[in-house]
Amino acid sequence: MARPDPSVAASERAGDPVLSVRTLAKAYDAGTSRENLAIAEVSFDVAKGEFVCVVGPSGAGKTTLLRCLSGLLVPTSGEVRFEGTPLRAVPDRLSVVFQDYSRSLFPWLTVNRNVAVPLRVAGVGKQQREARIQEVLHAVRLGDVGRSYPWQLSGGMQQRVAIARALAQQPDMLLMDEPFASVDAQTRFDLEDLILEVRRELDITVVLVTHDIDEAVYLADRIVVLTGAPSRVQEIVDVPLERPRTQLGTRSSEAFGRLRRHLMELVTTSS
Amino acid sequence: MGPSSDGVERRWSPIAARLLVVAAVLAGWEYLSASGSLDASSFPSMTDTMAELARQLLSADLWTALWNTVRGWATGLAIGGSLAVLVGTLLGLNRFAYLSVIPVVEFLKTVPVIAILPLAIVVWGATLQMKVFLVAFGVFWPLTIQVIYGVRAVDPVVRDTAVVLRLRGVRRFVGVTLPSAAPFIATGLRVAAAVGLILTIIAELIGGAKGLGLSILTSVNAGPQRLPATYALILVTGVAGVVVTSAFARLERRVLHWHESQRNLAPTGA
Repeated sequence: MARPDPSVAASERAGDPVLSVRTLAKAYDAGTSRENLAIAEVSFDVAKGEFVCVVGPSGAGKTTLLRCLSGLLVPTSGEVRFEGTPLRAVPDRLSVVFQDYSRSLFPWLTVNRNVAVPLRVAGVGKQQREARIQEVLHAVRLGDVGRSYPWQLSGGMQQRVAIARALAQQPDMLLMDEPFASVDAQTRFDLEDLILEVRRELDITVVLVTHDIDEAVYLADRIVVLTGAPSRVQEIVDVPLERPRTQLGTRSSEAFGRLRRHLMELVTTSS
Repeated sequence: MGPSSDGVERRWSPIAARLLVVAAVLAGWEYLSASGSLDASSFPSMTDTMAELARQLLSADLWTALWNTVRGWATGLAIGGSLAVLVGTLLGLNRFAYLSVIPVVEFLKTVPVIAILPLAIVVWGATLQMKVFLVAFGVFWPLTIQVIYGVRAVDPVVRDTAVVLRLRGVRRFVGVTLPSAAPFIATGLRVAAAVGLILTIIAELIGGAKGLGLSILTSVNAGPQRLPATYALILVTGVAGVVVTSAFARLERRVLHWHESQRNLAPTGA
């Protein structure tokens, strides 16, 4: 297989990568007769402040990969480094946003209390905590919903709360697993723009897993394209579209169409 | 999302309907007695029973008996319940312990509590302790299983979220595990409370410990002229059962107002 070594290309791009993935492999039930290889070999780097999307055909082990990147799952072989340190558990400066906000937000806590959870863990005092809650709810453009329970809000608002809670930890990097897959199309556009704004304002690194190619092109600086299971890196595609991006302008540009077409070819031929 | 005026109406009309049904049943009882369909020597009339009930309600005996029953029931429930939550949690959190112990728990759960009643009487006699033990024992096994299932049923996404938010130890247990298990524990507790009351009455009836059960037995032994008292006391135990069940259902609704099963029932934002 003749393909450029993605790790070399990435490290030339920036100084120390925030996230560095080296020959990561993950097999479920390893060593048994039911052994099932989900990820064969994945390597890529994510530079500070970068927005990287991971796409691949469905069943390509995208969620498995994200769980390995976050420290929730231990890879069978290979290494993940976060800010230079090999990943052993979920690092302090990393937050994760899951697809299913209705389950990741604690239904027994109000919005305020959900957002307060990481702050309490970090031992932030009451006054500072309240200020910080207001701050992150404002950052995700949520008004006066602090006293509501998450399930009283719309899907889009719930995912905003989940993002706010992730931001409350003041992470260096945000990992997102299909975060906008469970909301309607209009809300999806709004949330995509929101995450771009948040990322610009707070200068955080984002790795977002999605099956939606258009979404990946719209959001990313670079796109890691996975093959079908067991997944490998098929290609790492640069997205040189200018920022700030707009749903109408960016998506109707010629460059967007070309990238989209290229990615479609990659994803459909690999499955 | 509070109750609208409409909602209030909807809640009141079934209550009125239920009261009507109760009134109809009581009237039917009186009619059957008056018409002679009910044998007066074994089934007193509704009015006689109610008059006796009113008399009993004014006497200290009934209240002492009720207090004895409630005390035995509440103590047994508290002891059996706390032990079940403790043991169930430990077994639920430790897979090895769970696999080792669960067959024993499943077996002891199926032992009818009545079968150990004679043993309890031999050990403690007709005492409060005997009652408390019986209730605690009867409540402990099913509730333990309920707690184990609850603790083990933490949603995988919730579990991942807890890890990502770095919730650990006691904070994680109180903040995530317990609320996740709460619906299971609440159901178990509601059932346990009702079962516990039945066991209390049985311990009094058969074991002879003081309380409503013993009062019923005494009134039966006192002969046919005390029959209205027997029926009045049976009614009191029935009411006690209804009060216990609805109190626990109400508590469940309050504590679990956030849970899917309760969301449309209770006013929110408590």
